[in-house]
Amino acid sequence: MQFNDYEKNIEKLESITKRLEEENLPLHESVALYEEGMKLHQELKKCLTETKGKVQRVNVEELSLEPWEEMPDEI
Amino acid sequence: MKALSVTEISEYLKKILRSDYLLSNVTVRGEISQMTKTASKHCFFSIKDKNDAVLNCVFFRVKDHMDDFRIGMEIIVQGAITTFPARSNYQLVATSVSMHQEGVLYKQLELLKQKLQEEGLFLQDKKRPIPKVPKAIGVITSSTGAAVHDLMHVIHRRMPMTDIIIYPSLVQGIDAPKALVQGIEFFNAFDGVDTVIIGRGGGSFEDLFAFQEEVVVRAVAASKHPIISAVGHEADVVLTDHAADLRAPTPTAAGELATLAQHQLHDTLDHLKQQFEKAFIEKLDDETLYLSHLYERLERKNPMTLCLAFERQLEACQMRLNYSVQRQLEQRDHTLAMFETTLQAHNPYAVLRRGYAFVTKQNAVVSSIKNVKPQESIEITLYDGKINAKILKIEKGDTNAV
Repeated sequence: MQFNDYEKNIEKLESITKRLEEENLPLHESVALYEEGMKLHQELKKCLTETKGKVQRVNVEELSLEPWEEMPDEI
Repeated sequence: MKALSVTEISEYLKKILRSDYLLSNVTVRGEISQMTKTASKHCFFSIKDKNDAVLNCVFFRVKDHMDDFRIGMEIIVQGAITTFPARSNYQLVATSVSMHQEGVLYKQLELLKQKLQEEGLFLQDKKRPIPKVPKAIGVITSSTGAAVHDLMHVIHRRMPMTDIIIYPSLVQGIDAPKALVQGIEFFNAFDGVDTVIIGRGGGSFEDLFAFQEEVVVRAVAASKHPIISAVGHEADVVLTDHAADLRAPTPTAAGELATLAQHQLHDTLDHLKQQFEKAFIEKLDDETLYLSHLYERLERKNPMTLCLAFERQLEACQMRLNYSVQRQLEQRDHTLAMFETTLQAHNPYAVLRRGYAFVTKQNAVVSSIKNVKPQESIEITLYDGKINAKILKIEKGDTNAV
């Protein structure tokens, strides 16, 4: 899972929970939702702990992105 | 000790002040609190500071330019501190008076602020919320100095998964406003960030001035992405702070305001997990309850249960039957035993022991002399054996008579 999709998936997990809380949900659907929720939770957890954000700088001349490196002589 | 005259002490003081290196040529900053111009073109005025310390000043034979000065203005007065013996006080005799540069800037700033405010650039209801889980944060600041490092450190300490894109910009000097605006425009044209932080570390009033420039303030107000202004220290408030969606007192604080702490994300996630687990368990409990209710209803109609009941009935019948048969058998046994005893008492063989014998002929009992003839073979049975005999003679007699 990409960290980009984190919030979207959190919303999905919330809607799974809401659906699970519905009274007239058939059991087989509950089980399927529960499994889906557990899987999603695991992926979200993994995404939180394993994603490492990049630091990039804008090349002002070329308006492109490049990896961040220290440039001590720059003001 | 000789007593000095008042004039003597006054003259002495005057001499001391004149000979003092600092007091003979001093520059003082203050706000005009009082001002009188005389017909002879002298200007008497006082300046004060925020502690309400007051310094009397005089500018002899001033030119026209003193006309621009008003009470409340921040000015810089250069001159010498002298005493006026007739009043026993001291004053600053000015050689030049100028408007304090900051004072001018403040004035201009005040006007600009008012103008932009009237245009609605600072309206609270225009402020957008700062995304709490940013995928990427754009930072417009100097690529050197503490601010950029503090920001990167704080953002990645709190949310290691967030990308940081730094737009290196001048943050002071004549070219800074243009560079800052270009930074904002760069991110406006770039969809990859959720939040923009514009700022710099602490500096003098002049150092921070780029963030007061109209073009920069307007660009901040028009930023496509939610923008945080983080300029200088807590006490420094610049116009971009008003125009931004959020003002951070320092760049470090901006890093905090732009992110959630990682544990908060984990907490939210764990809470959600608990919630859906609880929902699922409740669902299961409901189903289990319903199932056991159904089971009970079904069980009541279970043919096996009915069979068992019959079986038990049957077993009871069988037991009763067995019991009564056994009782009857026992009764019969008893009766039989009694018969046996009686029979035993009447056993003919038992009589043989007392010396009696019985006679048979060809296995038929001979109970009368009429049944035999002389010379026929007979068998005499005694208690311990048999005798084969031949009849010699038959005599009629009556045993009853014995």
